[in-house]
Amino acid sequence: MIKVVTKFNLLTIIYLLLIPSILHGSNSLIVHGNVEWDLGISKPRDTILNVEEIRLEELEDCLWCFVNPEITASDEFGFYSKVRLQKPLIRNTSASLYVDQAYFNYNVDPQISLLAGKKRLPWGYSYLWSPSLILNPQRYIFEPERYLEGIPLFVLGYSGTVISPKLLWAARAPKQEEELKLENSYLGFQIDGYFSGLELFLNGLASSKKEKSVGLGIRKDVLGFIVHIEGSAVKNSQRRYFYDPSILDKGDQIYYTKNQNWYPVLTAGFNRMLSEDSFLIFEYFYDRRGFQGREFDNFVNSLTYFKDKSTQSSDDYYTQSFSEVLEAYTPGTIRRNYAYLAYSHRLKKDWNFGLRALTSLDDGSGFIYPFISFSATANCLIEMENCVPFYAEPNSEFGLLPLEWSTMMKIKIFF
Amino acid sequence: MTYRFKYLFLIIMLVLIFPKIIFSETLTASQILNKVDESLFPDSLIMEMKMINHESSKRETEFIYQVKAIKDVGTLLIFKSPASEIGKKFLLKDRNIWMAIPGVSNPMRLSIRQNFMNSSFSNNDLMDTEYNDDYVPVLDDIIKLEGKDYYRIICKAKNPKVTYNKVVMIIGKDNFIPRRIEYHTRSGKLLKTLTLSDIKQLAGRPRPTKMVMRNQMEEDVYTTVIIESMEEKKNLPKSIFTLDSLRK
Repeated sequence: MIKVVTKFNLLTIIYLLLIPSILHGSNSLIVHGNVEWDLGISKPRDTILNVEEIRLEELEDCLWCFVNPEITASDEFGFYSKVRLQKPLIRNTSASLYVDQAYFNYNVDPQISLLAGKKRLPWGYSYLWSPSLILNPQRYIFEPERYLEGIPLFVLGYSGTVISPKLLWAARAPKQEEELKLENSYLGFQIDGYFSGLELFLNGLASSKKEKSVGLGIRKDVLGFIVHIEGSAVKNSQRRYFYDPSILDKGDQIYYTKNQNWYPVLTAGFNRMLSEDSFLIFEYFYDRRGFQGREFDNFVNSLTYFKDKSTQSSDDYYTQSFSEVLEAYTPGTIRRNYAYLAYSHRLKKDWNFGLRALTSLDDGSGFIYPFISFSATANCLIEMENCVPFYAEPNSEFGLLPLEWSTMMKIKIFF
Repeated sequence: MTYRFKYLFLIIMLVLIFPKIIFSETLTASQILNKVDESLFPDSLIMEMKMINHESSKRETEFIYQVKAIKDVGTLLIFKSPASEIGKKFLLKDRNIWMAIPGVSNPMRLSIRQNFMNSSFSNNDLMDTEYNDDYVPVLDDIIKLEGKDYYRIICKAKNPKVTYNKVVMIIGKDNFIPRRIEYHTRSGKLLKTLTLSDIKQLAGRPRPTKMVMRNQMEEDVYTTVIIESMEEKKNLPKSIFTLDSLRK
């Protein structure tokens, strides 16, 4: 049985909008995508958390099918979508169908365009972290270009050769089984500029819940290094800061607080072609909202406290609280300072080697993710990947991952 | 015939018979390069291209893409094949290049010197053929090959950002179509050779439809680009050569 996970009724709206364009006579319908079979083995490790609590589906055995139907009705109107079918094999749970992106683009005239639907907001210059895009779901840290889920949005844009302003309405992607709520919506703008090789943008977002962000970014080719710096100030962040559980009274319902200050968030990085066959990406991320010192200790202690309580007591409060604390465990974004490096090298003809590595500069933990790929044909790729977390302290960010290592073989067939 | 009539006859002969010779002999290297630009592509166009990477004697990888370009504005390239590359876009504007995989990554800016899709072409070779902008050309010689006259033009880089330090071009004297282009490194070493052939009628005039780029370092490895179709398109909107077009 296939479980359809659309999260909101946007699909219906999109497909209804499609009907007139199809009736109008589409220029072309392109359906492309790929089928991927991941076969993995991993060695679990005992931490506060266990493998069942941290579902790393991308590191498990799974059959995926990504399909991208695209319809070009005319030079002015196009529809694009990305659909993902996911079937865990060994766990043998039911298959799920996700509509990651489904949107249309309409060029009102050569300069003015409308974009509506479910799409990732493609603003900014950063590769792994996007400081000024508080709306987009965080990229998957082990493989940043893996499937990306969009958000409901509507963008009105003007494309100039020097300045391109845009206005935006968007909403945070609702969690599973949650309806799209208007109070989770944002209004925003972005102004892109391009002046003889220098790119820059200024953007702003504000939600009805008074969450705000103002962002600025620049990108330039400096002696063959494509350098970008992107920063933002974020107010009324939704991030939770946990109290020390030892001071919580019995039955105390409030175990976290939120902060209403303006916080700076920054990414700086570069990409560089090192030789004809090798390419390097580096990125540094600073998020003042991230946990440091006592804040991280309180988070780990809260995890331990609520986990112990939920196993000892049948009270739903503890189980619910544990889930909420666990939700804050987002490796790669939970702390303040990170460095990321991605390197790829073409060994010869059809063979490629690559390495991704991320480290939390606050506690020295992180992971390395080497991979080697072989192109059997133009449309068949075989990859061997290995994910190895490293840490000095078991209760560090990546020390909490209940994983010693994971090795995977991926077979991708494109169609 | 009086002297006066003899002079008049001579002047008429000169005007009627020799202007073509006089004109062509007095073309500067820069004017010849302008005509080379015109001979290769119209100012505003849409074309379909096939690129075949010959990676060894046994292995070939084929790509098909559409190119939209306006001279001095930009070049946009959209992949149609193979399946693993469908939708991938490249935008070249000034001396900068961006790549985008729609729905996957934000437009990523790349170095102009980087190899294009593992081919023998650099990003710049394929997308920017206007040599007059970046090089100082000198007419070195007029040579004869297979009974035809060719200009030999040596172009020296005037912009340190360009991929090659010296480019030598062998250009047909009759049609201004390059027959061979040699790319040299800063040390003067020959790095790559581009051969243009298969002249066909495209977008209103004869143009080369086959280009083969050979890297001198690797004998078996070369890239062939074939222009499948070309249409002069004067009403292309400039807005498609902006980063916004990569984000859609």
